[in-house]
Order: sequence, then C-alpha cells, then structure tokens
Amino acid sequence: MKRLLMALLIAWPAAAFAQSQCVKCHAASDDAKQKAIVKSFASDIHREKGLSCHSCHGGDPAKSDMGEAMNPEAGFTGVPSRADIPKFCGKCHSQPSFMKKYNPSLPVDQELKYSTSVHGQKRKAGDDKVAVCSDCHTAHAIRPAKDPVSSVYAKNIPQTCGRCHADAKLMAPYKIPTDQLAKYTRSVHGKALLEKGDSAAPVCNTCHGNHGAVPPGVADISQVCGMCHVNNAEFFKSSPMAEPWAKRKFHLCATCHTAHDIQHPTTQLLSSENGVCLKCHRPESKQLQVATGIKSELELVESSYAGAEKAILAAEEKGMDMAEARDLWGAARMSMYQARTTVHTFRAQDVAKIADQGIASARKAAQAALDAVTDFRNRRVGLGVATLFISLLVLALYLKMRDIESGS
Amino acid sequence: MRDFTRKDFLNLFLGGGALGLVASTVYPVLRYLLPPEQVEAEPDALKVGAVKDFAVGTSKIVKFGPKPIIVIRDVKGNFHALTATCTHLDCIVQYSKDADLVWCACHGGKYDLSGKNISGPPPRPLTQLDVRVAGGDVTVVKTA
Repeated sequence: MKRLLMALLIAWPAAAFAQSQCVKCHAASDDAKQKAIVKSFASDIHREKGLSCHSCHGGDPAKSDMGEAMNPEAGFTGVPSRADIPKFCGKCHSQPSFMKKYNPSLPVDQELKYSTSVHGQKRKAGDDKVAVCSDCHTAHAIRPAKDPVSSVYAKNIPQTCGRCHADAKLMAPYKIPTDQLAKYTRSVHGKALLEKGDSAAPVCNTCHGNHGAVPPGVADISQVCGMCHVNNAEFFKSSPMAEPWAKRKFHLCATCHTAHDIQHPTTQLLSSENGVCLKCHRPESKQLQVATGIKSELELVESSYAGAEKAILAAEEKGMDMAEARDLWGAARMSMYQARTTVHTFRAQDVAKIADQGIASARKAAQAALDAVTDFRNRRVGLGVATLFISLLVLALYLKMRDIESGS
Repeated sequence: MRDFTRKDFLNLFLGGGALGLVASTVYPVLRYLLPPEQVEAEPDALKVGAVKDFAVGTSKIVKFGPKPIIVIRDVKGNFHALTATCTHLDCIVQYSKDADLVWCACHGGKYDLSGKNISGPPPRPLTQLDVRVAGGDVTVVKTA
C-alpha cells in the first residue's frame, strides 16, 4: 500500500504535466525550440513538484483552443522579457508562505539580493545583457543546486559563470578581464574541485556571492579568504604589515597570492630572488632578511618532515611496525602546517618556534625508522647465522651417526 | 692431557646445538607469553580515566587503538568524545574552554562538541563516540 502511494505521488505530477494542453500543443509543434522546451521541462524540479507551464506563464491548460488557453484576460502572461525575469521568478520565490509548501529550507531573498548585485544594478540601469535568473539556472531544465546535473551544482558553476565571463566579445563593453575561468581552472581551488572532486573547494559564488554577486572590495578580501583560511587572516591582522597595507589599499591576500590564479604556496614566495616580497621590498632590506629567515625555517621543517617520511616508508616496506614513528611524523606535519600558517604574522621568531618543534618531531620519527631498519637488518643477519648453525648441526649429526655406525 | 678428538668436537657441537635448539624454542614462547604493551587493534571500548581526572572545561587526547581521540569535559561538566584528527589535513584538534568548542591550531577549523564542522576549512565532521560514566570511571565506547 505504501509503495503504491509513493508510486502515485511520483506519477501524479508527470500525469498532470502530460495532460496539460500546453504540453500537447507545444510537443506537437513544428518548432524545434518549442519541442525542446517540453522535453527539457520533463526533468525540471518545478515539474517534479507538481507545477506545470501555466504555473509560471498563466493561461488555462484545460482549454484546447489556443485563443482561450493563452488569453491574457484569463491571466496568460506569456514569455517574460529578460528585464522582467527576476520579478517573474520572484512571484513565487520571494513569497515565504508559498515556498514553504514546496521547500521550507529554500531562501526567499534571491530577488532582493539580485537587486543589490552588479548584475541587478546594471539591469536596473537599463542593461539588458546582464545575467538574469534563467542565464544561470536555465529556463526549463532547472535542477536543485545539490543535483550534479544542475547548472549551479558546485562543480558546474565555473562553466556556468564562464559562459558569459570568459566570453571576450560579451564582456568587451564592461572592460573586465575574461581570463578568470582559465585562471581558476589551473588554480589550487580549481584543481581541488575539478580534478580531485572536492566539493568543499571554493567556486565563483563562494567568494563573490551568488544572487548578490559583487567583486570583493579591497577591505573585504581578507574576510572572504578568511572564511576558510581563518588563522591566516587572523595572523595577518595582528602582523606589522596590516596597517601599512590598509593605508596603501593593497588587495590583502590577493597581493601575494593573486585572485583567481591562486597556486599552492611554496617557500619560493619568500625567495629573495623571485619572491613576492620583492614587489615592494628591496633585496638588501631588513624585511627581505626576515623573509629569508622564515624561508630557511620552513625549508628545514619541510625537509625534515620529508626525510622522516622517506625513512618511515623504507622501514614499512621491510614490514616494520611504524605506528609510533607515524605519530611523531604526524606531529611534525602538524607543526609544519602551523609554521606555514604562522608566516602570516611576518615574525621570524614565531615561525621558528613552531618549526623547531616540527623539526624535533621529524628527527625523532626518522630515528625511530632508522632504528627499525637496523633491527630488521639484525634480524636478517640473525636468521643467516641460525641457518648456518642449523646446517652445521645437521652435518655434525650426520658425522656422529657415521661414527656410531663405524663403531669407533 | 687427553687430545681433543673429532669425537669430542662433535659431542660439544651437538650439545651446544641442543642448547641452541631449546633456546630458539623457549624464546618465542616467552615473547608470546609476554606480548609488547603496544595495542594496535581498535577496541570497542576504552576506559580513559576517572571522573576526577577530568576537571570541568578540560580535555585529554588519548589513543583509541591506533587513532587519537579527544575526551572533553565541557564547561557544564558534560563529557564528549570525538576523533581527534582534523578532517582538513589530519592535524590533532584541541578543546577551547573559552569558546566551548573544538578547534584546530593548523588552519583554524572549528567543530561544535558534537563534532560538526562549523567554521573554517574542515570539509567533514569529526566522528562522535559515546561516553559512559559509571562507578566514577569514564569509558569511551565506539558508536554502533
């Protein structure tokens, strides 16, 4: 009975959709575009929830006469103009009481946020080319953001935004760069999302907002990056760099790490030959000496950590139990991460304090691994000696038996 | 003095061999009877101490089999146990008495006392374990 009820609940919107006169006529139309709309709407979330063409466009789906079905006096609104689309979708999506019936957890401030976004502001100023709801969500194949086939699913967002923002011709009047998608794709964030499948990695809307999309201002950047990189942002705020940077209106995190092309940071960023510090400081300056000191500490903890890992792997390959050494190695890794984060204090002594703990842990781990390998070698030598000893014993037994048999 | 004959040599060698054989049999038996203290198998439950060992607003990192866990007595005196490895980059988390939450010193990730990731980079929650307090002892039990 329960299964039957479930089947009916699923089948009902599909049946209602198929019986709609709108669907019958548009599916039978000679116009390929109309047919495609009917086809794509079959998998739209609105159809799944029991809504149909007339729910958005008005009209009477029970009437077979086109004039009656699409009578403006009977509420038919037809296709909205691009400028009207936010308001058109907002008819339902801005109404909490209405949305509660379908999805109580869905926000109802999208239209309001859109009006504050760069897209919304430009549209208000009469620009008809800027993005409206259907540009990102599609018009008739709308899926929830958590659905992997949705145009606004995390992994698909770079391409969705890039459809316009990577189009040089479309962006030409706005005089903004069009390389964000290419840069993001090769960035540490893009690789995490697109290559490693880490859906927690930030995409365009994580930093810029979605419905209220705006470019982060100079002062906002550390807030945006600090949402995930909490310690880095906090350390920077307390660093000697914070005040002078704020005065000069530097783009905080982006000054060293760039905005869209963010790469995995290495100690090379602190290099006195080609590091980012050289953008402002001279190679012989005191600040570069601090950077060099920090770089040396980081390199030492990194090489100690890598050396310990190599030693542990070598011991594990020989079948030795490295659980204790792994714990020490884990402690070294933790110190290494903390030391890297502490770079944002720009205080060499702070970095050194943590890095030294990591170096000590890594050395202990490496020593434990070396001891284990020595133990393994000793066991092998022991086995060899034992084998030799047993062989000689067998030989001795043989000679003894021969002596007994010969009666001597 | 009697000459050391081949027969003597063989007898000595065989006697020594017999002793070696006994030793090589007895040693593994002793090692088996006295196993190393290190326990690597993951237990279902672990007594982590007495209630009096945990002051209010403190925590303890202990090994639950091969994995570290954090046992917390929060500011209200309630016990919590969570896996102690941050889900971001495997650092060991800590309890912050002031904020009454769990945080990671590496990148500033934060979790509530049920293990849910609430701020910063951790992508997943920490695994929660049951804490049973009985007879003045605190025991952590693996959740079913």
